[in-house]
Amino acid sequence: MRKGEQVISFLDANYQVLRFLVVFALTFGACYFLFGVAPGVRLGLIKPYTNLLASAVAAVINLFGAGATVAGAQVTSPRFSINIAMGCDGVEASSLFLAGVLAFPTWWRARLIGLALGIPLIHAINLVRLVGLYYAGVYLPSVFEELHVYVAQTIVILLSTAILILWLERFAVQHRQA
Amino acid sequence: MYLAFLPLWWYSLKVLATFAGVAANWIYGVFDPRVSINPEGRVVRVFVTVSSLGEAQTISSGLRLDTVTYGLPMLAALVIVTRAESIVAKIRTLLGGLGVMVVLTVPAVMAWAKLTSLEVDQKIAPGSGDTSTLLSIAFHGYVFSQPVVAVAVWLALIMFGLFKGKPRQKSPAVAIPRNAACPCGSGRKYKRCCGRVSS
Repeated sequence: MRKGEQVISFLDANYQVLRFLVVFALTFGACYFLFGVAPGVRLGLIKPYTNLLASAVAAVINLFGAGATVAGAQVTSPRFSINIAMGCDGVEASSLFLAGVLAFPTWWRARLIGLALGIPLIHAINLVRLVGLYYAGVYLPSVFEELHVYVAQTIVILLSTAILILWLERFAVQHRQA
Repeated sequence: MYLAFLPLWWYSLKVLATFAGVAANWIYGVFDPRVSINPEGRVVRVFVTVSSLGEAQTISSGLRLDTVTYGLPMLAALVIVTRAESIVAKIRTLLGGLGVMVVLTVPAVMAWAKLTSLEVDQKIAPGSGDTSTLLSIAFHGYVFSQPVVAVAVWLALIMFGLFKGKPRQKSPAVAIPRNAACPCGSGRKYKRCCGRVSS
């Protein structure tokens, strides 16, 4: 078989997979650009959301007597301070989930269920991560940076992937077969 | 599993930097001979030679390779915990996935080299060159989204069926001559025994 025919045969055989990957990459890229780069959305939506997250983090840690105050996206306490910046807002993990849900060929009803349950859950996990990072800063300041960059971010992405797979198994595949 | 792969990845960064630096330098040098890319430990250093006022000057910048490869241990962990049909299929998938991500590091280093060279051009003659915002967004997006890249590669590996292994090919049936003794041991000719049944 010639090279060209082999390529066409490969594309034909893997059309669904390639479609999923292309839609996934384009959706994630669009979300990254929209929420991470476009100044209007960053200032009008993400910045107020990070301020809200900072207030939520302060409220949680104050339950345990941290004595934290909030100024914008900065949470300050006598023992440690954190600034909720880009990448800490849960947008990346949500974008991953959104891209997976939109790229998988299934019914819109299954997609809407996935988004309605998955996105709030991911943001709740992100809030837990931020609270965890605050306590990592208090008790493990020497490895805070490593925990912040390599561990906490990865855990949130892994949990988002787990939620995506759960959605695929419980909702998307069933609706696809129905 | 992820935590187990972290030190392994950390200690392999020098090798990764050498591969990415040498490959990126070889490809990038074809298009822009002013730029050279050299690995230095866990950092890939980009040198841009510029001539200003008749004097040749070299400006350099460094790219820490951990910032563009920290999705690797995550991918390795994801592949290891995924159920595969055989150990061979799992090892092959692991090597394939890691290979894809390592190869993706080369264009990332080249993008960094291009951004450095554009920055130098801007410093020499402000407003003259293209600041290439899109390239900068793409580079930082790739760096920032390493865990997502790892998940995307892992999903691709699953969807291409690499964990399932290669389908076993049936061994081609050996043609038995019609008048030969039947292989079932009956003593009769093949055409009068099993050959008749199969035909």
